[in-house]
Amino acid sequence: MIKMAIDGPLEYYRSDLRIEDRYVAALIFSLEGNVLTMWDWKSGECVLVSSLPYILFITLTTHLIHTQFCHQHELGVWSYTFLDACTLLLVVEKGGRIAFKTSSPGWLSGTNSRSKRKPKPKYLMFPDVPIRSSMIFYDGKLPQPESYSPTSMSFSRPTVPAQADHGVVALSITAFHYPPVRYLVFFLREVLARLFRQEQKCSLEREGEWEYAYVVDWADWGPEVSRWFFAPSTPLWHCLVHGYRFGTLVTRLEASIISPSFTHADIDITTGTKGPPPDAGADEDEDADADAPLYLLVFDFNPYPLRRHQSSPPPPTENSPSDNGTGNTVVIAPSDVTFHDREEVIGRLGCRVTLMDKPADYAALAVCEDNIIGFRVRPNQHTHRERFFLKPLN
Amino acid sequence: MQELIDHSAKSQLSIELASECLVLAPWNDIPAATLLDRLRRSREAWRTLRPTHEETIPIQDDIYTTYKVCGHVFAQGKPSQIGPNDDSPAARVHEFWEMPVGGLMPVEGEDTRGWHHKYLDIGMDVVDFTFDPSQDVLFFMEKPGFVDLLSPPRDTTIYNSLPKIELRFPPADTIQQPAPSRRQNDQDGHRWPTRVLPE
Repeated sequence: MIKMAIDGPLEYYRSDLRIEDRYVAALIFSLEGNVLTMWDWKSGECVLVSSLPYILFITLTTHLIHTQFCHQHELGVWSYTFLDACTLLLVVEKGGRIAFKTSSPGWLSGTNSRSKRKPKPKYLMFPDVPIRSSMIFYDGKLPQPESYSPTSMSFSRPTVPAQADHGVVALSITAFHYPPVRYLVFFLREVLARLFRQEQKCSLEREGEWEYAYVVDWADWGPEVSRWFFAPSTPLWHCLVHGYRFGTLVTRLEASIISPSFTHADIDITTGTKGPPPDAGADEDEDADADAPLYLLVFDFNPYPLRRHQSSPPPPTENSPSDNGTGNTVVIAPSDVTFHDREEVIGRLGCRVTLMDKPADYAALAVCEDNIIGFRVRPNQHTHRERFFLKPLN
Repeated sequence: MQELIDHSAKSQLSIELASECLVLAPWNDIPAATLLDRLRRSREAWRTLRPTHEETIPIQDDIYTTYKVCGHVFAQGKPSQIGPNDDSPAARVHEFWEMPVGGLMPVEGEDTRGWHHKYLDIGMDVVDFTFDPSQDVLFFMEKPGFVDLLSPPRDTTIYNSLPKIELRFPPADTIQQPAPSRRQNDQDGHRWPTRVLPE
């Protein structure tokens, strides 16, 4: 058991704790600035501290209420996850655009880094997403195979993940336009790790007075390894990731935006895959859809069964139906999204999507390797489901 | 070759495990045919989203309760008592459930450790927590100064018996600037989060 104590008058609003192997990291959102700290919990040593410019997203999160405001936009780290056992993947602002970068113990803002030559940072740039956005990683990194143990708190599993560093990472990008639009972009963790390791076409840009950074444009790394979706803008679009699977709850209307194969016969679909989902639009549309039953939707980004599944049917074309598969599971073709008429982005990362054929009757969701945990609300406590929306402050 | 594979449960299991990105655990002693059957049924359940088993966990439903799922353990942290102004979200009671593995309930005769329930009241203002069941570690983040009108600890037996490490955040007045090196830090007399509390 490990206790982490915050000293001083730090006004705490939200935290994001993650463990990977011997490291534990905490990103604290506060009025004084966001603080990213990482410890080697086996020794108790702090191995990484970031002093970040102000970012303030006051976020109150529970399983039912999630309200978000954006006060200030001098940007730094928005969100983070572990890329492998000792590398953090950060989503940051770089030159007015969103970018991925990595950081390892000892390299960020200075602890224990003087004995080694600091490598040049590398930025994987995003397309021209509106910068007034909030970013949240969704991931469910698997434990290292060797860390499973019959004596541990967990079950003694007969099988363990072959590669704990593999899996999917989802990044939620909510653009604070009116109406707010939320994008969801998926990457494979192992592919991101490889991109940060290997050399590729990039430019060298000055960063600070004496330092330079490698910058890789989106077109040189992103389209083939990403998958973009419009997500319902409501924060109640619960998302859970575990390994290669991503689970969420959607209405049939929302599911039909993900794949027309999920179109229900009695629903009039008027929006194509290029447009934002209907609930990203007018409030009355949202109200009409708010009481619709929710269905469990699971994305599976495991490349192996997908590759085998795709080997038999012909590849989809622009003029043919984009989905293939039977029943409530479809393999969906690449689709594109447009950022408020600014830039069209196509992601070609393959995935398979399964929609539960009956309403799930859940208010929230969690997913692990073998179980789906649905949160049901008793009728006498909450007789209706409420949805909250992001509103601009000005 | 196909015939050879069709008649070998071990070969089929190897292929199925590879396609699911899994490997056999070194301590596994379940026969290959049983594992193969379990794996295929589990995969089919994921592909159709038809549950093979359902259990109900009673959870507290309020805005102060937080939930975490790590590995096969589901946990909730909830306050023993809400403050008078409903502004004390400190969670002090933590409950853990171990969930079934393999996508199925254990077969008859198989040892199961499912649905164990542990209770932990740690007697401090926890604002967030996380854990890693595969390493048997549990992290609590404490924020001093929160309104503390919660009931006194009811059972600290488990908490007191566990080895404890305290990780400290940098003092708030140092986080606006690039963090000093360890040497500078020591010279300035700041506490730096490197100490391990003795048991």
